[in-house]
Amino acid sequence: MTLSVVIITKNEEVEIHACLKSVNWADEHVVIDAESTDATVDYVKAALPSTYIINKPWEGFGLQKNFGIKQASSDWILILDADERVTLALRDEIQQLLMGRGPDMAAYRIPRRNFYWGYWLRYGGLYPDYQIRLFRKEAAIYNDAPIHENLIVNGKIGTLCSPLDHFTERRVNDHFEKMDRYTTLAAKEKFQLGHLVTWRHLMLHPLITFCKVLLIKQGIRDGVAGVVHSLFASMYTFLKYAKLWELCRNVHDTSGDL
Amino acid sequence: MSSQVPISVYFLTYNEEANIRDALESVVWADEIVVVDSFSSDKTEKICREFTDLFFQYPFEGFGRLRNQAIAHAKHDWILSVDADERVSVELREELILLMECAPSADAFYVPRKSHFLGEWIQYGGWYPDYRQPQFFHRSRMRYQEDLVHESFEIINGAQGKLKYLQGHVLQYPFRTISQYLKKMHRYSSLRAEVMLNEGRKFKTHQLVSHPLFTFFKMYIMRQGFRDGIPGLVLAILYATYVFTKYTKLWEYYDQIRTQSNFKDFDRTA
Repeated sequence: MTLSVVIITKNEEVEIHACLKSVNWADEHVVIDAESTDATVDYVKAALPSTYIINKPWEGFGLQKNFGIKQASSDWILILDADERVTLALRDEIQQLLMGRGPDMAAYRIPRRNFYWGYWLRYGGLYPDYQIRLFRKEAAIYNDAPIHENLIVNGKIGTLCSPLDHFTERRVNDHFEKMDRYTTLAAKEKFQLGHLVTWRHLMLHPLITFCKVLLIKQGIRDGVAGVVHSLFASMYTFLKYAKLWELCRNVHDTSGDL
Repeated sequence: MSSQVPISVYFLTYNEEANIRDALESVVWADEIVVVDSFSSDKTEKICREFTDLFFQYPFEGFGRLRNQAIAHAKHDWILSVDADERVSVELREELILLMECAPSADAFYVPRKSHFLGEWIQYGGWYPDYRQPQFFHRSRMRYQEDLVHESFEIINGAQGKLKYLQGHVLQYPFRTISQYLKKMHRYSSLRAEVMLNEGRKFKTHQLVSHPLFTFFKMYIMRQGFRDGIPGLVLAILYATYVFTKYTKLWEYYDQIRTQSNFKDFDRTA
């Protein structure tokens, strides 16, 4: 059985090189690049000159990935994000699996280690964080939800035991910027659904999130990074509701007070 | 125009296209408006020129210096300082007109500010009256110090040597949106963390939780932020978030120093 690795990118010059290097053992590599303005394409060529690079304007995660899958010519697909790395153990496990006449499952879920600021966070609900990334080409397709796309698998799904590494956030700084953007999106989504905000959402929900991540899901066992992660999670909850309140307010009251 | 009130209002601007029009409109009753801009790249200049020809550009070398440069361009003795995110209220305008009719009784006057957040005047949590340097003063009796970091002033040759307080308000709109607050918080917390690092401040894990909690408690309970309703609550939590951000960045600085060697990509080992 042959394997194609599919990666979708947009301005990933920092990550793409190491990502491709971690899968240089696969039979084929397909990169669907959404008009990167940085050196992504150069880094792809430098890492693996044989990579099949296609430029395609951004149409959402699901559509980009489906397009990439269609271009691949192997029986099996491994789909990755640029900030992910295949570990040596995972490589061995996948190679073993695809040897001979191939596995009897349609797809496999892979445990994922999430690294924040250089730390692998094992607790706080962040592990094993299973992702279905390995599948038979004709057995799976992504739906086209704009943010959280889902893979729809036709057939049985197995589970691998070696992990994929995910460098979620490298710097606290980047994390803050991302959080501002994501909470704005999340608030808009809730706003469209007609959600309302009370003081409970602003005060209790963040507190509950904090306790849940830190204590119930034992984020505290990850040390300082675990505490920071719990606080980030509760900040996310708070900002989402605070921005939702802001949106609701702007609708009801547009008067200035001069 | 001779019917105008004989004072000079000055503004300092840098990319203030969103704010400056409302600010200028609140002072059109003054005889003279001076704008000192630090080379905005947006429509600030165009908007300002609709209101005044006295538009000057200077590089930013501290606020004190810019303020003194603005005053140098003013022709009246009495100066009113307004920021781009501030508006002069009707009562303040009336008070100033009255004051000018019978000669001001002090060298400089503090002006109380009503600061707004999420559309509400924030009265508690330590946000009111939020005086800054005297906003109304006689040009020969007050001068800004050209210190790069701290904004301070000195009273000079005080004939009366007196500072007084006005009753009328300036309305201030420091953050239009939560996002805007976050961006500012992001910048300031990085700066503060760097200062703390340079001062050799120690980082302890409990600070991530205890200091933000204390900030929230101080603002929301001790300074009665709860009386400002939801905007007061949001503000108190945002302040706590700022403190958390600051300490997280401090932690990251120390962490990077400690683990510089293995901060690079992790080995691809299982």
